[in-house]
Amino acid sequence: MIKFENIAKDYNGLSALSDINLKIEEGEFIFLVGPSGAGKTTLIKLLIREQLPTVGEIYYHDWEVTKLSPRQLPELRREIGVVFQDFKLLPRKTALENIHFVLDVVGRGLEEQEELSPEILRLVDLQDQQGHFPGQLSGGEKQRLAIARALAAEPKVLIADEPTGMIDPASGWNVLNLLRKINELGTTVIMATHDAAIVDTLKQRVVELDKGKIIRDQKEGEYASS
Amino acid sequence: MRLPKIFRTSFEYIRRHKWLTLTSLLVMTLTFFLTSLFVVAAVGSDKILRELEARPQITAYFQDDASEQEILAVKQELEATGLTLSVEYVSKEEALTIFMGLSQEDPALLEGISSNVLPASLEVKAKNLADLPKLAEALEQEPLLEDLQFYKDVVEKFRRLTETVRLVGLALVGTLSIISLLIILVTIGMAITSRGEEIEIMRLVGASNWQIRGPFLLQGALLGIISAVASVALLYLLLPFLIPYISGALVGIPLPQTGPAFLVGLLIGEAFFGALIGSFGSWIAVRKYLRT
Repeated sequence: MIKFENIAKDYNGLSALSDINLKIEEGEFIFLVGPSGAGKTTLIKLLIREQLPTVGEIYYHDWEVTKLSPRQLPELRREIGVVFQDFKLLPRKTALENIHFVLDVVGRGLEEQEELSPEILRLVDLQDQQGHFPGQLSGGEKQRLAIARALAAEPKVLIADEPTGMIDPASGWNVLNLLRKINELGTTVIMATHDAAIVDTLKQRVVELDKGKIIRDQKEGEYASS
Repeated sequence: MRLPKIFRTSFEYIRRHKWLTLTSLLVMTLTFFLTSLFVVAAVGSDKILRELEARPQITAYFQDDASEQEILAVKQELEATGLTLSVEYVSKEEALTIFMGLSQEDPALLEGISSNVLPASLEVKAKNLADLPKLAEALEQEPLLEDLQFYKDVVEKFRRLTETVRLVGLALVGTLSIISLLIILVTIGMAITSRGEEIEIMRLVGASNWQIRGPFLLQGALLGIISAVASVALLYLLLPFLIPYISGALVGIPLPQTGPAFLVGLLIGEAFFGALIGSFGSWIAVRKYLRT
């Protein structure tokens, strides 16, 4: 479903990623682990073409991501939902309006937006906060709202960049359970994380990055290589 | 994107930058107003030029004692040259009628005037302007001639004036159009910058370029259309003050058509042009934010 071929990415001559070869199948749950600066976020940005690789090719099904036309790019981004490390919520819109916004982008009518948005918020247990602005939400609530927004577009792939990094452990487990549920419903989930406890508990595929290279790709792996 | 939503978004952009929007509206309104004035001037001077061209190019006034038969004989002589388009005889009585028509608003001028005061004349038009001197020469040899008026120079001068008006007008309107375009670029640029985060998020969640561009294009087009409407409204309000001034300067020449049909035509033309300039400016302003 997703294939990275010989990817390298330089920033002003500094190598952020090199020799990346990675295949991800439909329905997988993958942890991307590694220290800060290992290249996890860069890998994610390349997949949704927020950035272009210096060399190599990236495939999403039969689309070559680096060669997508401006018209196809929005389609790719609707297929691949991202929960950003810094949430990227719209600060001047309420929780409910943040969901409306995405539904509008993906072409849902006004009636559908009004019908679907509360349901999506209920999915992440934010139905009571629907009138709150992001500034009025806790870290965990913001994180759940970000997930809800990514889900609203009904993506085939959900990428979560450090979704538990900025929230307390209890909220972290809530978020994780949510991601697992989403995965069980058929969505491919890619989660970049530092959280060893979570990775070790779930026993899923682990791809470890260090200094821009994949140093481990292990089925049912743990956070630290054994 | 549905139309009502795109309108709501556009109006929100406009509301957030009231003063900038107002500035761009003023500059664009000024542009369109000057454009309107030059259109009026161009259409008007064209009409005046045609009117002048249609007038007799030579008017020969005859002495008081010249009889109608004698003048008509001269007319036949002229026609016999084959150079004339038309030669018309204006009797003393006809001259008085014309004079009275022109001086209606000034009764003092009419007092004591009888048909004897005004001379009879021949109004001559040449087929070809180049033959006018020949015709004038022939007329000057007539012993009964009192005076000769030769319009060629007037027409020529006015033609040159008309061309100048057009050139200056075009240059001025062109310059102002460019300024309007730049103002739109700044206005829309500000609206985009203040929404940078939102646009970035829109793109990341998969909004198409048109979904992002739409409201800004509409905003630019609305600015253009509003300015066009405002300028034509301004012209409509000012015309009643301008017309007496202009007609005072142009005795006897019918004024250019500035009725409702003309104004509506002008409005449609300028609104179209405004929408075009506005959306084109927005297009350029948005373009650099949509590169990937």
